[in-house]
Amino acid sequence: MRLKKVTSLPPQAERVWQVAIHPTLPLIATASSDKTARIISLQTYDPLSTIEGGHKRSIRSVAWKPGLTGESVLCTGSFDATIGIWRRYEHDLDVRNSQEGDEEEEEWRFALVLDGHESEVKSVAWSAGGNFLATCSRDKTVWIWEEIDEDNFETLEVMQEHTQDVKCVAWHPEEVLLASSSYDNTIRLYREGSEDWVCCSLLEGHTATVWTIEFEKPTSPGYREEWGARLASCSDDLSIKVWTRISRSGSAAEAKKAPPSILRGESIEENWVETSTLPQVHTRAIYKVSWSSKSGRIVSCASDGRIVVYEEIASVDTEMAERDEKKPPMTGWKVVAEIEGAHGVFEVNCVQWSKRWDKDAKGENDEVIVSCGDDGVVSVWELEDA
Amino acid sequence: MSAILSADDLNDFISPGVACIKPIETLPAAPDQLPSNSYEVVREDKAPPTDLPPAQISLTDCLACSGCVTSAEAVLVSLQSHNEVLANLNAHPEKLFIALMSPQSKASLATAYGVSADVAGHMIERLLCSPEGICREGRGFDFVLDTNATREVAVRFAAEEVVTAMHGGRDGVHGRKMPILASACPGFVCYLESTQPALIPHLSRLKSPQAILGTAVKSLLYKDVKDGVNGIYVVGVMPCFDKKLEGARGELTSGAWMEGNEEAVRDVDCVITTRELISLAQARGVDFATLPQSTPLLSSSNTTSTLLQTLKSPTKSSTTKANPTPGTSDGYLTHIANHILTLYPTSTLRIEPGRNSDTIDYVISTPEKTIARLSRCYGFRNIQNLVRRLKPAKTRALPRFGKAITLQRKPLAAAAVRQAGGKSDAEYTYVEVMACPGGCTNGGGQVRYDDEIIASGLGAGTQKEWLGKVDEAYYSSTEDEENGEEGGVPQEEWVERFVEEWENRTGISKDKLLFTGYRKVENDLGGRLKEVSVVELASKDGGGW
Repeated sequence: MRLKKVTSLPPQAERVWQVAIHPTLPLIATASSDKTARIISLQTYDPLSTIEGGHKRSIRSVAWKPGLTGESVLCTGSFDATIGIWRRYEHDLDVRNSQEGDEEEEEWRFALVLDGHESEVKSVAWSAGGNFLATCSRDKTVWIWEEIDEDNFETLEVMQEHTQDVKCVAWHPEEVLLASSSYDNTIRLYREGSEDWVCCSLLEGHTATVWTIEFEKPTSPGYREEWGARLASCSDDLSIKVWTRISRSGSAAEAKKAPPSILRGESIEENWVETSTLPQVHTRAIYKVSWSSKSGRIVSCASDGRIVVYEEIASVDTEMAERDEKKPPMTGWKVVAEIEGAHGVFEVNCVQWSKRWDKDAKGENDEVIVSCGDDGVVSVWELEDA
Repeated sequence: MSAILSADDLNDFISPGVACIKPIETLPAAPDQLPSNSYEVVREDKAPPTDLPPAQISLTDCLACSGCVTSAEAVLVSLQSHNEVLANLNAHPEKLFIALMSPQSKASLATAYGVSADVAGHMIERLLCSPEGICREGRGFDFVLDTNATREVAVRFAAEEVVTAMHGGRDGVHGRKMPILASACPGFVCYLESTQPALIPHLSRLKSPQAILGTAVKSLLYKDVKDGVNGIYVVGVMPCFDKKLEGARGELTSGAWMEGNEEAVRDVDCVITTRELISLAQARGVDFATLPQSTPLLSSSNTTSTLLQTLKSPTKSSTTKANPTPGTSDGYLTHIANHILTLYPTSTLRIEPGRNSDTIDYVISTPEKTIARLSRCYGFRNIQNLVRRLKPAKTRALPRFGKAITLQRKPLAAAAVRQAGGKSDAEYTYVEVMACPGGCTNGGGQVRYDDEIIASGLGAGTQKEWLGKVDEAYYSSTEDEENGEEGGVPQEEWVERFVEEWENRTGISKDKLLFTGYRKVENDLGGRLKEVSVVELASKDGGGW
């Protein structure tokens, strides 16, 4: 297989940190150093609107709130230590193609700013149902917010387990389980205890900054009911690892029986083990992994300018299964496609799988990869059989 | 804040001096005469001295700068430690040494050593003042005083302050803004002063129990002591590290109440934590567990000690009697609520639990209307919500958001609904704010559940279980007092008498003795750094983007 470029959009003024794909609509949001977030159509690959004027420094991260109809809500996390919430009604989305695109830009309404972080916000993420918003920052904290009524957010918890800059937060696709990764080389998982959010697992294994983490989707072909969603992580140590949960010492239901607590320390621990290390292709820091919900493939991008696609080798490690049936199998992965210089000489900051919406889409399961880089360009790639 | 910053967090040390102005200020001036001849070889004996004296940074400097708020903690730990106390005991045996004990510290030690809080109090007195304790190896303390006495003063005047402000309207006397926020937690005070200066007008002007007792001791005794205020050394034993910050405040010195041009001396010279008290005992080779559990008999013949009896006067705490849940932080909320209830005979109290056990609302209303809404707010996450809601609406939703501002119909409507219906936070009358989740018994300076000093069999599996025991000891202490002491005067009456006598003896008004002020902590350098070199800082400190 090989990666073939579908298109590249005209560059933004400065580097693009991240792209986020709308959960239901054919939209991409970008996060850029030029202090804006741009909304791009996945049908025509035209820029639709620009969100600007809200942040004093780079927008580092964007996230679409899931579970909404008739309205889109975008969260922006910025190096100015604040988080912005933006809203737009989507009822006239269908009109977009026929009507003038300029007025579209007026549609984004700034709803509110969330402050509290002491320094640069590095990542923002909505929980699966959109109930909770997680944010993390160079101030070493992970915050959980809840929108208690429209445009009124409360801080549910401030977690300070990481000893360094927290790079990424990601929610489990079904459970109320949050993961964070950090410059301290670790990944931490958090759950809601009887009253507080508690760190329920610490994943150690990477030997350098863990840049991003992403959970497997239940629709992915490699998903196995008995183990639940796995977690992929990528790091400055040039490795990509897959982690699987092997046990939970206490369920949330059990924790609820405990007397109300004012402190952390409920025992809702989980045990996660490393079950795969992907083949090493990248030669510099790996910035992003994305796990396809359709094909189960993983795509990665890195400081070395490469984009690499991996596929899980279906065979189960029988030896392991014999020894202990309760252990998840170690699985192998192979490289199925890679491209060098995806963004010229520039670093590739983010890659993301997306459903294919354009005119060449071959059915519901057709996919593209959206990438962005220090050149300010957003590119779209397809995986074709060589 | 202790919840966030405790001694355990010292690895949190943001490279000291990134924004610290002090080393720059104390850098010696460069030598004037540059070598006139550029070919001249600098001989070793003429080379600029490389052994410059190390920059001295005091805690007051850190409070003034806040360039590295988190590392200020590290500095204060070293500047106000049990070693500092011992050094002063050894160096100045002629001084009068007085320790101020917080009830939370007693509860913590009581739990660790398996005794009642009152017995723990006796043991502490033995430790500090008697030959069984630290006196066997040198100078010890002359007196141990409870901050319980001044806690009663504090809650009494806190209630008065709130009621006055209620009658003075929203922006009434002294330009007070409602709600009034408790100022007894130095962690919260520091947080507001350095990061939320717009909310400073909300802070209660009342001193904390520690500060009141420190002022009382020095102002009542200095005339009878050789060297005046300099002849008295007051040590606070407190549940949290941030009390050290309070002790070092420029506002809490003799300069605030004493006439004349003498150099101002701190009202509380040094603050150590509960745990550091045990370190102090160990440093003098005393095993706290083996100390006698009965009240020590102190020779109380001189005038100084009779004066101090005023402060040791037993008090009955109406706060704890009237309400079973005064909280672990001196019971401001419940006392104020009770006070307001007595002012409005037809009023009733409704308690509304909050989202978590660290937040709760007390609503006082008559059949006609709501009179006051008081709240408890412990811990950083709840403080964040409080602070966010108290900020003016326009800073919450930034104006001038480019094109986005033109279409704000819906958010505005939502805001209007919020203001019209239900509990807008502007309606709050008083909030008992404490930085630590669980309140003061859970201070960062307390004995933790896994501490080695805890007597065998008394430990707990988790900090949560441990804290439950400490809270029990804390509450039981006040009960014992009610039953045990003979012929105590009612608390309100005692407070009135005490303050009156205090004013009479010192000739100073209670405004100067009981109240204090706050100021925005400026950090120009920090501001500039944020603008200019945050990129460099980011790459140094957090490992880049």
